[in-house]
Amino acid sequence: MAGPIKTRYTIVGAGIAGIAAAEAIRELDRSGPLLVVNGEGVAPYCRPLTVEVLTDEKTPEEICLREAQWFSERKITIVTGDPVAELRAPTKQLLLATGQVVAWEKLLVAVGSQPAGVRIAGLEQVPCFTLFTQADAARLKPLCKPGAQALVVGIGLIGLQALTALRRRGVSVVAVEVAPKVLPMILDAEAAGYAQRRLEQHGIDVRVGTSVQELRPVAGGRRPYQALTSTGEVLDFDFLVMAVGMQPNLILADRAGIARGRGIRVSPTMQTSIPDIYAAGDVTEYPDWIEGGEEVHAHWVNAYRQGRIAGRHMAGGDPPPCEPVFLNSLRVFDLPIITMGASRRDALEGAEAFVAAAPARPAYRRLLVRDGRLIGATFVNDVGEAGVFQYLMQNRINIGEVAEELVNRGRKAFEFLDELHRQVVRGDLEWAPSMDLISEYRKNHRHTRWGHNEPEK
Amino acid sequence: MRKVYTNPALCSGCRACSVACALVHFGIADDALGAIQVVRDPLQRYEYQTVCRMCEDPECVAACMAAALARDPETGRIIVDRDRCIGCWMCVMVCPYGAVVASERLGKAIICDQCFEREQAACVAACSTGAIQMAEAEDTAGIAE
Repeated sequence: MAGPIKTRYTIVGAGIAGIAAAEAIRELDRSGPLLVVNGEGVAPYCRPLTVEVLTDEKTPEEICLREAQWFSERKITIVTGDPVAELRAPTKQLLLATGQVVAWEKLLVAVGSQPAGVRIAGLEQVPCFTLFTQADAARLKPLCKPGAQALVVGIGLIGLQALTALRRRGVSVVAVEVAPKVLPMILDAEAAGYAQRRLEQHGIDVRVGTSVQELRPVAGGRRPYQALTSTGEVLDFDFLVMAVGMQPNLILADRAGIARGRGIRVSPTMQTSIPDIYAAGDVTEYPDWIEGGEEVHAHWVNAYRQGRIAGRHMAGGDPPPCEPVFLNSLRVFDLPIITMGASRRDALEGAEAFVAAAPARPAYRRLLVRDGRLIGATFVNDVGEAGVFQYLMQNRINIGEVAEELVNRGRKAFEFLDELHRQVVRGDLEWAPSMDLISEYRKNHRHTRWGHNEPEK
Repeated sequence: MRKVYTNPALCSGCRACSVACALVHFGIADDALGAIQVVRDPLQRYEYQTVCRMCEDPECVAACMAAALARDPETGRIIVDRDRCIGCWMCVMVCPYGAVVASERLGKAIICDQCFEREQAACVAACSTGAIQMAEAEDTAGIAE
């Protein structure tokens, strides 16, 4: 074995947080030795698109995040298929599974999350799959034949992706969710109703408020396996897909003694409790300014933003702090849904909900407002303006007086925001630092308007 | 770099720009396929155009997990690779200008390409009130102020 690889920066994990960090480091430091450790045996790829591989809509090459050339052009070394065995914080070293030692000055832990499991009696007796990695998709694929019957446990984001992919391949699906509504971490009850109806229209047998109590093989039955539910029903199936949520990969951090709750604790600049060790992406937890407490905001956009902040800070930059909120863009078959913030709450203390619903279309918009600030938003089949609301939320802009108008489209969100910006440009309104998270906004805004030569005051 | 500029005060809400855009890009006279959209409310009497602002550090490109979006450093425009786009609407979720058109008809995102291959942008040519103009971004700095 050759001697240790000496690096200035080492990034563990080649998901979007790790890639974004590598990119950000290279913006500030073009030559400092930079190593990315990719534990999986394939080139970095986009995890959320794994289902597209299962349905043959994309090839594994097409969901590749960055090709080998991208790394070589930036003088980034990538180790593939050699996961980290041990993180040695005091000596600033990593030990990889092959025995290779890596020395680092700044380390980023961006190892993401993995599917969580639940204990069910008899689980070991039935074929059980998850759908997260490319390897998962490859294992599941041979079973996805028309006429097969799948049991999907959990109707969250992962469950939704799994059952959509299975249905597209002609598999019959029965899906159970222990919460009283589908997508319980994302949607309020009314929005969940829209989603559930759409699932049922596409032939999914949806059982909410139901858990699986016991699993067992049966000889000579309609299907080789059976599930007994908490509601006393028997569900026949050929294979089971477990989709009860995600949990951060904390083994490395725990062994190294990095402070954590449900995820690794990080500062606003993504530093962990140990100097020179950073964390970003789905592995982290972060103070939730909307509901208080610490939350794991596992989402592509958050992981990207956090990765960039970590990278810039590692390379000596001074990035603006990160204040992630829950974000989700999903599709229930042909029904697009975007949510943000505390959208899953049916009610939240001190918050008022503004709703505009058109059940026939169907379309649904809901804003949750507390102290004038937007703290939750849901857009079902009416997503065009969602980005503007995301900006209003991230920048904590006061919409208290116009929330009713905004939700009913009596006023266009962007027109409201634009008016606000014009007030700032005219000097009628002071620009709070918190309103500048998207720093380009003012510049782009200024450069884009040419018609607003308002009279001087 | 040249850029499409809009003035809501001059907009009549006719949507000729959206139709012209859809025609030159898709050959279909469907205003919903236009990269420039006009939001209007006849009762409140407002008309408002939304079109890509060509951010220097675009949120939509950062959010795209299918690597379908890219910023062309030369022209500044956002390029949508429709073969890669899967219609996940992450770009829609983060665009603070509401300028990404989430086309359910295509199942793909539509973003203004500034008609970079044409001398005159289709929307500009179609606008009868002069509410849409094309100019070099550098030339217009400070006009609004």
